[in-house]
Amino acid sequence: MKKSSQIAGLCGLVLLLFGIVEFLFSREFSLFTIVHLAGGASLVLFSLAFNLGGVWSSLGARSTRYGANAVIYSVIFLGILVLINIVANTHPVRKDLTEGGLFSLSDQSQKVLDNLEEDVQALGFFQAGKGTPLDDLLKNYANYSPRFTYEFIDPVKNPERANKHEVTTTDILVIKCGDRETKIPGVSEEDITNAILKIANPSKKKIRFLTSHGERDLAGEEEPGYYVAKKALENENYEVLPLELYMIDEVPGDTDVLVIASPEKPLEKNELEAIERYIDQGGNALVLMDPGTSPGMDEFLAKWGVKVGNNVVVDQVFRLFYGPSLGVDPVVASYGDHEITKDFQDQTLFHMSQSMELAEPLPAGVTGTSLAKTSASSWAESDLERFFSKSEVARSEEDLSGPVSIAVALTVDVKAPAEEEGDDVAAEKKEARLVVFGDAAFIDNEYIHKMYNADLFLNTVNWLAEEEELISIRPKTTRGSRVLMTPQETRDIFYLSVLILPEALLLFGLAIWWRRR
Amino acid sequence: MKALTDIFHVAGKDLRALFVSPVAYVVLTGYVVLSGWFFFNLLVQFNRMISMYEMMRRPDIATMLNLNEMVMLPLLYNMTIVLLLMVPLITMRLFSEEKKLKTDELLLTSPISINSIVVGKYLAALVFLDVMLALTLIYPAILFQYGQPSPEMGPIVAGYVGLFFLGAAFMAVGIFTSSLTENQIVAAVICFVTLLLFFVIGWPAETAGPTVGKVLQYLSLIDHFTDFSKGLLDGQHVVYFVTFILFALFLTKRSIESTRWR
Repeated sequence: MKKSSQIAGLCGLVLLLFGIVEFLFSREFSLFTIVHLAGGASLVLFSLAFNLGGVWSSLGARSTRYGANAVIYSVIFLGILVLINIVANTHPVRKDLTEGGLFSLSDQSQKVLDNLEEDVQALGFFQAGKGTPLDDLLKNYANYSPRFTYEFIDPVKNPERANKHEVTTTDILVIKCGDRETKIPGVSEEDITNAILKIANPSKKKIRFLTSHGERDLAGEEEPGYYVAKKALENENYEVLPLELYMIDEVPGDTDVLVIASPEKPLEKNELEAIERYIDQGGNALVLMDPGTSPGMDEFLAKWGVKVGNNVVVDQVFRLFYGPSLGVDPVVASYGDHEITKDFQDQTLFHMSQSMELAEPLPAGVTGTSLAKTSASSWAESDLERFFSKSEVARSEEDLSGPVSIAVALTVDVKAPAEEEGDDVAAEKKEARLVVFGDAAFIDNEYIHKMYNADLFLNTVNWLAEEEELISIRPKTTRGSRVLMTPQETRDIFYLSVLILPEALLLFGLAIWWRRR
Repeated sequence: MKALTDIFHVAGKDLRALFVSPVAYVVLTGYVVLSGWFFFNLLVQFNRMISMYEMMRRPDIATMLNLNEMVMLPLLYNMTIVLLLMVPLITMRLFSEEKKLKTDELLLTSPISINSIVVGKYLAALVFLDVMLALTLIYPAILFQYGQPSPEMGPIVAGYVGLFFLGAAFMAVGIFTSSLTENQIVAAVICFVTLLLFFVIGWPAETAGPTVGKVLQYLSLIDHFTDFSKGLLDGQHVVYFVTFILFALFLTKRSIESTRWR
């Protein structure tokens, strides 16, 4: 009885152990847990009851004391080791041995992190997060700055958190600072640092869209509307507001960029004067026109040397399944030498654009360049009557021949500011920036996601708003390397790596074994 | 100091015993055969991939491929698995043999302290580990000899450092299990199971909840190796491995001591 009760006691301990482990994992009192804990406890008690005397004496025995001692020492030692690990965790010491510096942040990123005044969180909505290069990259940020934390969230398993940040697909990184957020699909150091740069600035630059003349609707979600463009701007931490200029006679001084998007009715005289004043004092404006709209804008813009063509740019590209197109959707692949398009290599798609050129010579104080040109096979059809009534085009002598410029960017020197001592920011502005596109449709809800239209638009707005701190960082990779082997060399390597070494070892071992005999 | 000489004394004795037995050579040969086979196949496969991309007229991708990520990295991972298989076979005899031959009593009653005995035997195991790893250095050497351009040195160095720490941790577990029993097979099996458990302990990390998950993942031995294999020397991983080894050796000492009063 005694022996079996002892065994019963040990079995009870095993049951208890597994019951506890199971509870730790499932965190609920399932049948398994209850059976194990109850069964284990009762077996242990049962065995104790039968061996009470033996248990009592063994408790006092030296061996038990030594055993208990050992356990206590082990626990204490373990605790110390765990503490050491925790301390090491909070004071990372790393040495990056890669040639490309995969585990170090570039100087620009370090500077951005150093200048942070609020905490920044990155939420990676990826299905596979841990262990990816993005994980390593984000860890670089987190290790460098205590203000930066990140986590990976599987959007499929956590749809509520995805919805909270308006994340509708996987592979989106949300960067959050205070109550501002931005989403980026990119996983490069450049994208992340630029996003942090945008988000860390608590003040939002204001972009005002002129309204009340039938311009494109900011809230409009149908095809010609500008809802998507507005959301894209807000994602870059801009504040987008409508402007009813005819009511207030003055463009608000805190407007960083004024956008005039294809008005269908002519502007009032006081509005034009207000805009002119705004630009002359250093304001920045983006004008988007369309053939047949924006009455009066061409005369207005001529003041700064903008030559608006009264035409439609036609590019009759033979499309694969649609036959020769009417050609009013020219693709632009060549860009001007300007900061906006400095590294821009991608194509953009326009819809019904006028030509946009610069007068020669430009007025005093104005410098500028063409931003975008259509292909060499295009031309600017000036017979608008025929075009609009019969949808026909024909290349003729008076038409501008391609490549046709359809966008220009200008800087205008600011006239001497008013003599006021107390002037602060306004007096410091040296130049006004002006960009004019011959087409307003390329960023509407239908066209903004075609090709790289959105990028061109955002680059333009960033330049106008003077957001020039955005930087470019080269992505870091492992250096390429390879082995060029002739068949003979391949054989050599095979011998060396697979045959010779093991053979030598075996022979050596045999020799030793033989010597021992 | 007496302790130091004792340690070297014990280490030397065990090393000699180790290298005289056939087990050492079987293990070394097996390790080198497997590693060599992996290495060669990885290299051939890599070359095939490069010529394929060049044939597809994508030389830009071909230049991005590199020996570090496509040959050394998978090789190092394969070597961790082979280490996991081989280490128990080396450490199983460290204490079990003594118990079997009853020479452990001689050892315990000698003037050498238990600490020195444990550290000495562990040192012998570490030297054996070094020999194993050193033999495999021929593979990166081949890559440097024939490589045009040659692979990056940094990640390879870091990878081997990580492999050493990982192997050292394996051996610490092995020496502990060896001290538990006189049966070498049992010692090897317990060691093997424990090592595998520590390999996969991080798997339920995602579903087990935030804190438990993080703890489990931190305990996973292989997770601390990955950064080394990519070229990063991180003090935190070194601390983990060192504390892991210290704890295992500590337990070994307690286990030996317990024979005194058991």
